[in-house]
Amino acid sequence: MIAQQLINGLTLGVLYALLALGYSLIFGTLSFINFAHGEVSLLGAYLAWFAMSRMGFGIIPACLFGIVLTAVVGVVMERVGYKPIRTAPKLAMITVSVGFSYIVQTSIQLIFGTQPHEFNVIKTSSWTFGGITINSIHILVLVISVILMIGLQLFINYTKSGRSIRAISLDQDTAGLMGINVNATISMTFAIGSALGAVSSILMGMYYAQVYPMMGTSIGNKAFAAAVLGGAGSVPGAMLGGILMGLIESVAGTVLNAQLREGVAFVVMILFLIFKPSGIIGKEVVKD
Amino acid sequence: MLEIKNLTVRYGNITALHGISLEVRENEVVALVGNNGAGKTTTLRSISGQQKPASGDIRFQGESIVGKPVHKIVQMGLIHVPEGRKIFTKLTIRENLLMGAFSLKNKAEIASNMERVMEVFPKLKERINQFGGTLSGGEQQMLAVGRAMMASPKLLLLDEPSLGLAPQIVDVIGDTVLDIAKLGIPILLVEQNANLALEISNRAYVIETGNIMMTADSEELLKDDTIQKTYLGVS
Repeated sequence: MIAQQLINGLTLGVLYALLALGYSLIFGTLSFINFAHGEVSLLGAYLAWFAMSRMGFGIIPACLFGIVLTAVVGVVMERVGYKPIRTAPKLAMITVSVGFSYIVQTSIQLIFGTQPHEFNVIKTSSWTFGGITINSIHILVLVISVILMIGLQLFINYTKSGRSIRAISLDQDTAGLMGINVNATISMTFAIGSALGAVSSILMGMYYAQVYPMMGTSIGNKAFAAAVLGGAGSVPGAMLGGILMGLIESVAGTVLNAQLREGVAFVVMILFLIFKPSGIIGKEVVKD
Repeated sequence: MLEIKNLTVRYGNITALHGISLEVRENEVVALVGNNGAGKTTTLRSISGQQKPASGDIRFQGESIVGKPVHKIVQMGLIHVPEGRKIFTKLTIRENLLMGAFSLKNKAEIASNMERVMEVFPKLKERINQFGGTLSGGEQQMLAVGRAMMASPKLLLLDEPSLGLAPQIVDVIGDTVLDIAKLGIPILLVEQNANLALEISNRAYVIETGNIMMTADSEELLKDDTIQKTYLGVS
């Protein structure tokens, strides 16, 4: 029973991790929490669903359609909403991001309707061994997420673009003086964060076999809690935080009770904020 | 090489620079001296594109650079070492130096710049794999200058390189500026420490509350007690 929960928790955890990466990447470069990230990411699942069920796209083109458009929405949102107020107090950006989250959520309801849509796109087969059941969605989620997370780590640590993201997260003005195109790098960060969020929401839709308008908020908030748990601004922290959050939630759902499960993420986040605010491997906040 | 004409900069209602003009020629170290708040840093920030001027023109190698984004100006070889050094404390010395070469594409050029920096600053070589934050103030300044040298600068803007450093270290920094000038890189040096700046520069501009009050050969300014007392707070 616990072993089964660990598999479920791990699957959920890597999806939280993909979503948490977006919070962390953006926090790392602009030092603010983008509360619209969950909703923007959900667009990915809705667009993929729309492309498949209404436009007749195959599964892979539909997913790519959702991912690319979501990345574009993320970039446009930054250019229109955040760039003009980049030097204003962070509270202004946070407020705008809350505004964006409602705009996107309401737009989803207006365009795609308020009812959940079935997103049953993969023929699942499952295998049982030793009392543990693993199905093809578990495997799909784990394989794609692990590839993306390793890819992101390599990109950030070993490419020139990755180096510019790191430089901006350390000191935006000085990064500019090094010849780094700060605006383009911030756009790229939003594109990557939103695309990863879109992948997460698409896989989440497949995992639960449905998409619904509040999905972005509920899952986004948990991924945000996971990013805090791992250490806001840290890429490996977001991965670790997400996976841990999925595991804690699944185990808590079994050990405690199913209703309490939804709140566990936030209890863990609050405990971390009290006892270790920098998270597991957080970027230390040093102001000088 | 660098020409500034009638540069005016405003922060809201406050005018920081009232139409200043200055020039840096090939193979020249030019000092911009004056008291705190005179507009020295604002001048440099305007040149490197971090501050948008209200009016006036800035030309580098004959081309106007007003309104160009910061990274484009860096790519032209106009490199700004900011006030307070601003090294990346959580990157190693090697990573800091490589960051300075961000806009270069040629690997051989980066390697030869690295070699040149190691020659000018042997101290950095000894500690190449340590974090920038572990360096002393003087060493951090050397790293900041070394990082700028990595960009193959055509002109260096140095903002207060002696600020907060012990007197012996200030002399070392002065020698470093002269070493770099010998490599044929012109320098626009901003300093509160007027004596140091005048000793190591060819020409100087005296700036006060956003106006250039006078310009002359540094040697002459060093000899002139009245000017030193009036504008530079040297007694």
